Amino acid sequence: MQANVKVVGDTKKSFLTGNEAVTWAALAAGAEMMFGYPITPQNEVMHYWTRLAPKYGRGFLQTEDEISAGFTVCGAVQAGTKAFTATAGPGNVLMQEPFGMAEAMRLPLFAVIQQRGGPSSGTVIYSQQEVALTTYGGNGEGHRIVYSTATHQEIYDYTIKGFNTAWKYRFPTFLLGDGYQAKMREPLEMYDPEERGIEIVPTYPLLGLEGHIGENREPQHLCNIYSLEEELYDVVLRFAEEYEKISPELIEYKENQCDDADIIILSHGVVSRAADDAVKALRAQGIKAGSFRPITLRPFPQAQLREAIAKSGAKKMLIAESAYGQLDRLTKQEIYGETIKIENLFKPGVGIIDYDIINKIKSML
Amino acid sequence: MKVVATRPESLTEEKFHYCPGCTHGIIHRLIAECLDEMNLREQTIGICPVGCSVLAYDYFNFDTLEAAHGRAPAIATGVKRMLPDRCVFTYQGDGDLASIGMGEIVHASLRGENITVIFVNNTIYGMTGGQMAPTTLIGQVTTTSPYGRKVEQAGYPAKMAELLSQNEGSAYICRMAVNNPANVNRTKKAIKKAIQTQLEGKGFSMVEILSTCPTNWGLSSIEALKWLEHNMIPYYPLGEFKVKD
Repeated sequence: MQANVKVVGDTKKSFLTGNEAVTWAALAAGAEMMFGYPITPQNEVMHYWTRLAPKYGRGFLQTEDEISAGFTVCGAVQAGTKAFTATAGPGNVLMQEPFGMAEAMRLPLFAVIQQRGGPSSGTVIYSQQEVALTTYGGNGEGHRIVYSTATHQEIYDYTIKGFNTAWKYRFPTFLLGDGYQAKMREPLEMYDPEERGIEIVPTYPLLGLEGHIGENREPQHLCNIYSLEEELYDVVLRFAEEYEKISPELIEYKENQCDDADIIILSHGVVSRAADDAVKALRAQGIKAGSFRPITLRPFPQAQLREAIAKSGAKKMLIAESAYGQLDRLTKQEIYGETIKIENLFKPGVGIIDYDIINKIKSML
Repeated sequence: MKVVATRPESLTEEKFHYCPGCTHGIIHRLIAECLDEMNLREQTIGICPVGCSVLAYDYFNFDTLEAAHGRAPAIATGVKRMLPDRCVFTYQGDGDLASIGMGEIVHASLRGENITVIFVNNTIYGMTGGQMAPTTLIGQVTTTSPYGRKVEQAGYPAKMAELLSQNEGSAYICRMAVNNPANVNRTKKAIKKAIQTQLEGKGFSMVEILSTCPTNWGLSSIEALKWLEHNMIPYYPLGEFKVKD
């Protein structure tokens, strides 16, 4: 593997689909291996990867389904390989089993999720309906890190960052995009991480270590099942404690003109672009709107959102999402106790534009 | 004027959305003709797949339901066991049946589920954009094997008819093709035989049908039929692999 070779060279302006941006960023981040299974709208990540990977000595395997794609990543990262996968919709559902294992074993798994319409096979187009699944899916406690991107530049940046986060903190890490971001083209700047002073977190094997078993090292017994209730309890509590501890370092958000806002628009992903446009238009009409966007859905910027509400003194908040209340529920559990009046604009599986938000805000005044 | 051919009653009047030269339309029609001729339309339940034929339920003029990726044999098992008097069939492509649904299809066959499977093998994932399928031939270029499928990297193409014919639960297993009129007629006979097998309660039946994907193969309709004949049939021989008395 030649994972350290410079992929991009000089920073270049590019005009790419989001799936292409994922591929280039993964190559630039030194990803060595991709496992995947066809599911729209993430397919082109595999298409670009299979074309480019051999040129940089990277590998690929198309598995028989997403359960296998997820578990092959679990195996590869334990062998010390910077491996990843990409999926969507029903594939994301199937991958909850391996994602749960990654959570249980603290594996540095990185996955790109390009949300499509649900439930079940739904549409192949777009939605924000995989928020609950990606943040809290599986039979665990949601000890995951989830970045929700809004632009192609962010897809590029957070793919690089996602690998680093996964390998630094050893919690499964997700880039949550959607069909619009996956399939549409947008300008962005591509760069090699070192050009921006981004240090690539080194990988290391958990299995097949150097040395002789019984002489200078113990055999590695990596497990994800426990005999006693108390054993598991201790493990999960330790995970929870570590997750809480690192959360302040991980939390990312964007706040736009909340200081004096009468009304705050809360959204994530591409919908936040419509929210920002709406804020601009509403301000031009003398309506003091502001917007708040969690970039990390897990861990959620709850203290920062509470602060935005407190300092603005806003009495109303609009939660806008292309789902039927997944961000809404996540937010309400995070800011329990706040008395700000919350209204919503839910369009499950359908895009939201500034006009939708402007009309809704006006109806709330 | 004498009418020599009509739309089978088992097909709706909906126009097929398939690409020019795609053979899904022929196979839909064959199933419809068989059900009409066997007078089974109103007691049939079809399990529609994912992929290009995801909209098959728009075309069939009888009860259909849709399964998630690969799970059609499991859904069919549930339906057939609760409604044993119905004629239950699944319609599945190669990625669906031989990759994500390999577990479901093998176990449906092992259990001898009294269902019929129409397995459309065109060596590629159509709808998702031409990725390598478990049946993609060695050397074949797809969007996830852009330099051609290599054995060292991706192993060997799956021969599903041969594989499933080994199971005791399989009662009728054959492989047909729809690349010329003679083969289309043979395919129709095979579909009838498979359905008859189910009606007689003998167990699992499957008709594998070699099919085309001109769009993702990058060929014209006629070239695609030739490609099927010259490349697929040598690797996937036609014929009956299991006929239980």
